[in-house]
Amino acid sequence: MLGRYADNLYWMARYLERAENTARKIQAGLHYSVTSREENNDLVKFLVEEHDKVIFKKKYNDFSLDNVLKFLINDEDNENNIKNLLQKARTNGKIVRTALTREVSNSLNQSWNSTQKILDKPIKINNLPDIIEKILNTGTVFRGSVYGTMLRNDTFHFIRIGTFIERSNNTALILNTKYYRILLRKTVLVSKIDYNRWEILLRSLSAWRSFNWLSGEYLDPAAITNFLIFDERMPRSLSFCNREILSNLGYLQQTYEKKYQSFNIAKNTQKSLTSGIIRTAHNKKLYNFIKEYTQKNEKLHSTITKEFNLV
Amino acid sequence: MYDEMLNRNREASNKLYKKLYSWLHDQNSSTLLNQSIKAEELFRKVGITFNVYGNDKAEERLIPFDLIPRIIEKKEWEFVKKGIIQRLKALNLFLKDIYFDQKILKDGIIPSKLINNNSAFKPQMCGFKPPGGIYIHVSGVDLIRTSKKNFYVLEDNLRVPSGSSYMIENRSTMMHMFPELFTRYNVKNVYDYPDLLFKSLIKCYGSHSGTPNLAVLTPGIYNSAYFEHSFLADEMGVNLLEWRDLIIDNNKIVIKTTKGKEIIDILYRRIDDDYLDPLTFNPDSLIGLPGLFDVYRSGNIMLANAPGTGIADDKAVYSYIPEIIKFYLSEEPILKNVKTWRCSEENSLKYVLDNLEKLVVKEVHGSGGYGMLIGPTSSKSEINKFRKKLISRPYDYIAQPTIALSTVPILTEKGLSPRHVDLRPFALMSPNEIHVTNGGLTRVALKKDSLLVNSSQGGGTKDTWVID
Repeated sequence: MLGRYADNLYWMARYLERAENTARKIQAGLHYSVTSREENNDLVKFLVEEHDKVIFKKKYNDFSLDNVLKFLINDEDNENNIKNLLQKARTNGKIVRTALTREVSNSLNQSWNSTQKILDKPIKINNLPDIIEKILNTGTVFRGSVYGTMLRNDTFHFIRIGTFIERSNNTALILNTKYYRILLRKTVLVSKIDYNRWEILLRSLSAWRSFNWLSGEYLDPAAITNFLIFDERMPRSLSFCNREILSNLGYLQQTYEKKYQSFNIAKNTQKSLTSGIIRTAHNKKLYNFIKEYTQKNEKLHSTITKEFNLV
Repeated sequence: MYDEMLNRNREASNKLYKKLYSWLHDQNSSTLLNQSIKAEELFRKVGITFNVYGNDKAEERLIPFDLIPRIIEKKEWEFVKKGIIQRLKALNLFLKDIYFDQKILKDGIIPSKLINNNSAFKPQMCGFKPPGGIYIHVSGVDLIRTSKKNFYVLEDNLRVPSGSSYMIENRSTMMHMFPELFTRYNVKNVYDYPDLLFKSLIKCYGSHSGTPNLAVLTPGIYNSAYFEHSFLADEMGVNLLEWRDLIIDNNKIVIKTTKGKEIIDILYRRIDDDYLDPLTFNPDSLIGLPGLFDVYRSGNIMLANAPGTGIADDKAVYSYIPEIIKFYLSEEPILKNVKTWRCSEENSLKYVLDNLEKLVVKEVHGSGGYGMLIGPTSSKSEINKFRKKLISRPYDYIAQPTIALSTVPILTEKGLSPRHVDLRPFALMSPNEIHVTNGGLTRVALKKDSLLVNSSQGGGTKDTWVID
């Protein structure tokens, strides 16, 4: 396959996953703001990632839900706004239309056609549930059509690798930036605010229900971290994502009959992800672990780019 | 005015149309209009759009699609096909002659000035025989019809004609919406076009060891015909490349794949000559691959179409095509040429200036309906403006009588209403064969009485059925 195609496939999947992740965050924030009676918008602030806060603060006075929504959904100053991400995903998809099945490229087109107009307009909270659902649906239909209609060849593998690198990045980012603030608190007492923060964190990863299902109502920081890092049943855990990356790189090795360094990187990461359970969340080691994971993921991305001639 | 479906008494003009007409009668008109909206949704979903030139934002538009098919009887079609094959045979011989011995110029059939001073003539091609001796691998001859028996060729389109993907997508859409209609007729297939294109190009390349590596070359996603480029690459199962993908390595054209480097043998390029290689053609071109032409001349890449074919579909050369056919084939032309006045000739210019309000004047190098005057529908001031242009640069223009193109009904909110149409069949040339599609792309002027069928000028398309 042309290296540029692989690049387009990989980024198409990454941008779409990123848009979907942002939509999940918004969904979590919305849920919080309509169920909680607190006047505190500290939690809404949580939705804006640290590295985006500088841009945000330049433009907006406060972290009101309205401002945050605009910023995340269609503010031109935010390069990673959902509208932009969907557009980039679609442009990448359009370039490699020939490598996709008709179902996959139709799913990209259709979702673009149905969301584009709504995302051009100022966002009203009343329309938000509908918009979010449309965006999440885009991801679902896309994945479904990729999974159900595409040949299991290199095209498929590059799409999957893109999806899971982006997804694990997102989970790691949430753990990394929120960890200190929510999970690594010195206090043993769980306050209402803490509880809310954990809920919003889990909801932003669509993991609230599954966590509850697996662990009962017991929200314990160590259990949450274990769940998000090591639990292989959870499709957004680092372990799950990396296993997918590893298996797709394995297929590429087989198809191309060549050994790749990127495969070894993912393999090493996988070892560290199956090694054990972290007993306590009050653990500096854990913080370093996540930081290291993020760096390894970055290294994996650049090695894949180089080894497979992605532009 | 000749309507292909209905005669003067508003009865179906032949058996085939009769069936269609009665079927249409049985349909609920609002259902039909609804289907029309559905068709549009279908086109959007698949992303069959084109970008309009001159729009910075590269706005994506749909080419409007009309549901009423155009029907051509097989025996009529056989006649047209023969005419196209004859024409293309002669034009390929003409190109070979022009780039080697220039016999037709020496014999005084065509003035040398017309060729040698023409920017479509590429002297770099002189003395070079393209693989298989084929120049015009793909062409899209524009035909118009004025009566049951009379077909005229309006333009030959021998450079990078587009529309074949619309021909196929129109058929898919019709089959999706009216499967029942297709059980009543034996409509000739158009789906085999990409496969035939692939095979035809491979045949031109000739016998080398192994299957040659073919790719489609596109200017990129903002090009107006990008959908078609990707469609054809997809259907043929080959790479769709852009300039940035091509590298010259060891006098070969090479691309970087996920596995490593790969050599390309055939480029079906959808880019004009002038932008191919800034070292050989237009030095001001910011795109292109410097050195591509050297690789071409050393036989390490086949380009389709061959560079320099534009001289054979030049609007000024067009008027000589009946002579060209006689000169190379010693045959009478089967398809008619529209009478053409070359404004570079003094007498013609005088006639044209005196009759502007009756004529269609076209820029010799123009295309897509840009830069032309349609006398009968233009205002006095438009005509006068054009008069000045003509006087200052007469050699840039030709003029033709306004021809009443045939009409075929389209579906409007008020029912069926006749609109002017043309037809672009596609032809594939390989050393021993010229294949012409069954039918082609019917373009229709959607505005009442308009003669402009170009998509950039508000034209739409119809499915075209050649029926046994």
